Amino acid sequence: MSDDIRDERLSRLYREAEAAAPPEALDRAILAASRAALAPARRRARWQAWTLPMGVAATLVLTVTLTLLVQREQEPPLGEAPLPRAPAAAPQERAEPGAELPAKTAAPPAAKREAVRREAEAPPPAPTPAASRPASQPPVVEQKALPAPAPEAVGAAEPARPAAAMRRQSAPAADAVEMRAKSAPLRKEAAGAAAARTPEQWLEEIRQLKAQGRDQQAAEALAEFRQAYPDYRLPEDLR
Amino acid sequence: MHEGMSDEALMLAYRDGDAAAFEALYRRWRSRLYRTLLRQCGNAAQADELFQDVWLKVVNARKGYEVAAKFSTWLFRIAHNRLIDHYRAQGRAEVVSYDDDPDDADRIASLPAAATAQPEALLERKALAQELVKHIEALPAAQRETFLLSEEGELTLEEIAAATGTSRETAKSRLRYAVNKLRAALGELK
Repeated sequence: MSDDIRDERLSRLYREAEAAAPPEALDRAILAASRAALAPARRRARWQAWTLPMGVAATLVLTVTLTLLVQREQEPPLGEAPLPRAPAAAPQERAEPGAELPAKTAAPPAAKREAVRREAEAPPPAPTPAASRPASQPPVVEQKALPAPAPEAVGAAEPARPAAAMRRQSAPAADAVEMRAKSAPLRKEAAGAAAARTPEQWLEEIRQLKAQGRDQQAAEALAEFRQAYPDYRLPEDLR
Repeated sequence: MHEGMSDEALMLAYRDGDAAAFEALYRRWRSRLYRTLLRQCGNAAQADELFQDVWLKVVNARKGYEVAAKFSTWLFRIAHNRLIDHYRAQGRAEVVSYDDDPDDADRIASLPAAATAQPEALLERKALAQELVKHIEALPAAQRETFLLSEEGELTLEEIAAATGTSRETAKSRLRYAVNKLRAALGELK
């Protein structure tokens, strides 16, 4: 091969030397590496063909799911009228000791269940508290029933409400249930009405009680209001 | 299927995804490349490592492979570069001999001494062949490599020059020194 420099006798003798060869394990390793170098390229190409459709499908599913979830959360549960959010809890209430945490976390579902149960039992809510009330109906009954349903209704419509307010509504659960049992069907009606009432409407009713000279009832209603909305800033005329 | 294909065609087929083409190419060159590396480094374990590295470089270079030279020239060029790295890592004197001017007349004087073995005492050619291998392994690295590329790679002087990054004249000079040295060592073959 290398022109006239090569010595044929030397070459022949060299070829008669013991033929060294690579170990079989080395052969296998190299051939495996040569095949492996080709395999990922094929697999990647096949996968890449599915990347775009899979990505589009995943995006669509995610979008539809999120839209449905948001719509479901915006709908008022069981035909309940949407209520304004309760005022935010005071900072010191948020920073209460950790021992109360289990009660806080357990409260919302319990309150919600209770509200749902009573909503199912109660007749349709009264349209407006004062204007539509018949003259013969004693307003006292309605006012007495006011405080109890209001927190429940808020709790049902708002699972993420401040912990202190929720605790106040659900902790004395036994007492509340007992009281509610005593005040029969009229109370259920009032509960329905109160559930659809905003704090402003509630305060307007208190003002009307005061205007009618029923100070005792107005004071009781105001105390219940404060219990239900401890952080609500009362108007000057009701302080 | 691959028997009639040239080395270059096999490598192109492998580049395009034919794993069997690489295997055919590997079978053709595995022994010759391995012996070249083994004679060059003189150690089976190191030869294994170098051998694997060279073939893995071939595998990794497949995507950009184009037929610019004979496959064997390209293969032995990779082996040459890997050997240089190996010598540098080892701090061996062979690097110096690669860097030296091969046309230097004093080079002959720097060649290893003639073999002390007595070839006439080796009655069997097999034993004589093994003695030749020892003398080849005792050659300076550049001459040894040139001789092995000529014998194992069956490369021409031009191809040897391309594989080792030298001129044709340098390759010719190295090969002449190597052959003369081996003839001298095995005096009865002269």
